[in-house]
Amino acid sequence: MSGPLVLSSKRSSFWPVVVLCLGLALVPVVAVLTKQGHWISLTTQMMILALAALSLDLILGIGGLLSFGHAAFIGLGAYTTGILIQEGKGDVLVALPMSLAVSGLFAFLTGIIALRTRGVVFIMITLAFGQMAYFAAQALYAYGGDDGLTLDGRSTLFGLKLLSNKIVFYYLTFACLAGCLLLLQRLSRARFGRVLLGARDNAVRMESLGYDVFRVRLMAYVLSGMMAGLAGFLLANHTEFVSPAYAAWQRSGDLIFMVIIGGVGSLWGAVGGALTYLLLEEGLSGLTEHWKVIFGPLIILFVLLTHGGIEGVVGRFRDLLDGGRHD
Amino acid sequence: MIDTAVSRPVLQIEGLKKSFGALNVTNGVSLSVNPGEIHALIGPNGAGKTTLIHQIAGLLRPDAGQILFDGQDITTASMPQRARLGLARTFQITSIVPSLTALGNVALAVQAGADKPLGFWNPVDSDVSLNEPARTLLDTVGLGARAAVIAGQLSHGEKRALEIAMALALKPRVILLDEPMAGMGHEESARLTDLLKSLKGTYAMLLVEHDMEAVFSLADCVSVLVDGQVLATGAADMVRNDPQVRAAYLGDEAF
Repeated sequence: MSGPLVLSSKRSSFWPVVVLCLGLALVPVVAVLTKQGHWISLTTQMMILALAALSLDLILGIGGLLSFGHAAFIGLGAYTTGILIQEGKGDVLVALPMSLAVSGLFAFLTGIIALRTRGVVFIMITLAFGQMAYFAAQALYAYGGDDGLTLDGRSTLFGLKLLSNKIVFYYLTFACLAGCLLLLQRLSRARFGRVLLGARDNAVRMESLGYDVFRVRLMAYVLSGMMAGLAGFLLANHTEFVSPAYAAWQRSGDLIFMVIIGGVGSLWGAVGGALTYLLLEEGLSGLTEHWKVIFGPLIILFVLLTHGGIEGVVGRFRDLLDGGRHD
Repeated sequence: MIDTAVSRPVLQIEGLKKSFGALNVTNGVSLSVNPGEIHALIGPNGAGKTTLIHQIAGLLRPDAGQILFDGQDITTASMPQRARLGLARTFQITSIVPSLTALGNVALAVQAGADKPLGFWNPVDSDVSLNEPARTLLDTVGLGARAAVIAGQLSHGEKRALEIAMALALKPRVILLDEPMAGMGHEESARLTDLLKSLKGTYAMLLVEHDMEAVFSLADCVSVLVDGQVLATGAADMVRNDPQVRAAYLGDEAF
């Protein structure tokens, strides 16, 4: 009975999410049938970064906060997991909560400072915090320093080496990604998300309504950081390796591009954007060693031509199917 | 001891001062708003009216002086704290959430006063406890038919009305209205005047307005602000005929 409240929710995200999830769920089946086993590992890696991009879209797309240090949370999650595995305490029941706690705590402490700023200052301060994490990882000489650290194996679950099976690990990653996507879809349409979005558009208005904008943003920032920390936990287990490069600012930039390609604020778009970005990267780097010369302009063209990324293109296509209503 | 609660002002400002560098924008302003009353604040451009509203709402911190809300000192309270106490405001420059619908904007204001303003799971689109009161408020301000329109696409007058609906959604004790009729056509501002008249008695209002017709038909009490100081305060007729006020501000064409 009540009409749509948000412009972007005019188009339901139900079908894109179903298509994305079904597609990803079927990858291992197809890979096994066509004997392309390496697809499984490749797609696992893509889903992990898609999870990180998704977490960024919460604060960037819905919160309107351009964090340029998001990779730090991946790095923190990965290093926490890596170090615990090296110390013989790598069970999922230890490593996962610890990774979430460390990345969440870092988000909380840096958020308290960064969220008092806005605009360019916020971008710079998150970049600075991100680089702090990067250099801290480099300084961990006991755990590989600059070179990173090759792990003895993956996390166990109740002492069992379940995660070493790549199909099990694939579906674990898939469940994390799908679960987080569902959670954020709900959250963005719930009261919390509405306040976060209102603060993006008009923070003073939200405060004059009685909302503590800083607190709401901090909550979103911590949640987002923990989700990226989860991606770090998965990444360390997937690659059985941790490196300062996980936390580097270039990686933060990649995440921003993934979100933009997907369509800022659409959540499922961030997942689609990450997959597109990484597939392009994978495809082009197989063609030539100078693939970045093609990749860069291609990304720019894509953003310029699509107006709203993948979400925008899919949305317009669906409008067309709906009977060409033009307004 | 005599119970003074009935006549006690709900909003009281004492000796408020604010300067930007050498410019004393608010220079010892004292005024009070009684429950259910409309207190109009008039004055020429640059008199410091909006700066005063900003200080009362908590957007600016005064250099000196005191703001009492219902007897409670709120001089250092934050903007959200004041809003939760029951101090609502509208902005001189329309301030809404443009990407939400008209209904969404009011529902968001209703939500601020709800039991759980920050739920994580249930969608707000179908939240009757927010949307029903919001619809009622839209009807009150005459926007009932425009509920589903994206707020950014409303006309100027409609946005002004939307702001008032958002302020009312807070169930406030006091509403600060910063030039609600600015930029409105004659018909629109007459409609808004009627609306404010119907709200009078229920809410105390501090009204900053240039539309003298509206001011004198609405206000119980008028204060004239010139160069950051209150030149005169009193009943509308008294202020209207004050020679000092006429000289400083009103000019004959207003009558």
